[in-house]
Amino acid sequence: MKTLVLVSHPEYDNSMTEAFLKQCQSDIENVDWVVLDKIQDNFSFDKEQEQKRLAQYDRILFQFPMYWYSAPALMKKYEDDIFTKNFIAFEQEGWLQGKEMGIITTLGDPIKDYQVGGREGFSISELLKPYQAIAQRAQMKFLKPFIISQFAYMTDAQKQKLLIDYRSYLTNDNSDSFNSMQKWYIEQLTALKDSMSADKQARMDIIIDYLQSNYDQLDELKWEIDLIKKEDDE
Amino acid sequence: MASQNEWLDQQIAELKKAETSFKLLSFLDGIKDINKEQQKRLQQAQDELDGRMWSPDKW
Repeated sequence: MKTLVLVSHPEYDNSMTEAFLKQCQSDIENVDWVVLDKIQDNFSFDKEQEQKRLAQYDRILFQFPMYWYSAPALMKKYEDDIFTKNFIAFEQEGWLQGKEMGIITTLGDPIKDYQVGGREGFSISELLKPYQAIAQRAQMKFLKPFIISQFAYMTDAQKQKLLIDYRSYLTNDNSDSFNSMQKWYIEQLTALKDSMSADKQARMDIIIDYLQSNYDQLDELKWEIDLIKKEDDE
Repeated sequence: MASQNEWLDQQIAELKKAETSFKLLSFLDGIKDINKEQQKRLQQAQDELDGRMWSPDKW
């Protein structure tokens, strides 16, 4: 699976969050990172080139700070320049049909403010409707948004978790399923093992086997439960 | 269960020794979260299985 992260941030070079996220994914081969602020020319984009770029990926992620309940202007300009009707609409050429679209957005305010009764009163899901509408028109699968709230206040432990969740959002087949998460995590540990010394590799192997055996046991129990449920239904 | 967690924590602590990569340290610490969720689900699944096998409907 190939993933594209399209970043738009008016203060990209000064953003701690963007620097952190860039570092989080820099070693992943199947992920490309493109900063719109760096490829724009006089606030516009090369339509053909960008359409060809988007067509190469399976998962397309828009990453931006939330500015007044929306993306920064350059992200919208990218959509306006690149998303021709023929390119998006599934009933026409629909170049993006069957691909996945996701939004990674950073908030300066606490996430708890974004809900009914909260200070902002609207949820992130509501605010992201225009993207969901594009995904629907393109017959793309719209992923749950990935929201980073108040990065500046995060502890090291929270940043560690963010690194894992972010990489999972970029590369895990289904970030939302614990089943998929376990398989993905074991793959990640297996890849990390290569950079370790021989004695640590052996120790890592034991941990990987342990997680795998938990996974297998869980799978077996679920199978048995499903069997009983099925019998009960009959 | 408690001793199993202790064993895992100890293994992770050994693996973290002298490592400086933020990515590696994140994934090593994250093992505890995955294991915790696995243990919770294993317990729930085992309890559900027991409950279903001993259902009074079947007596």
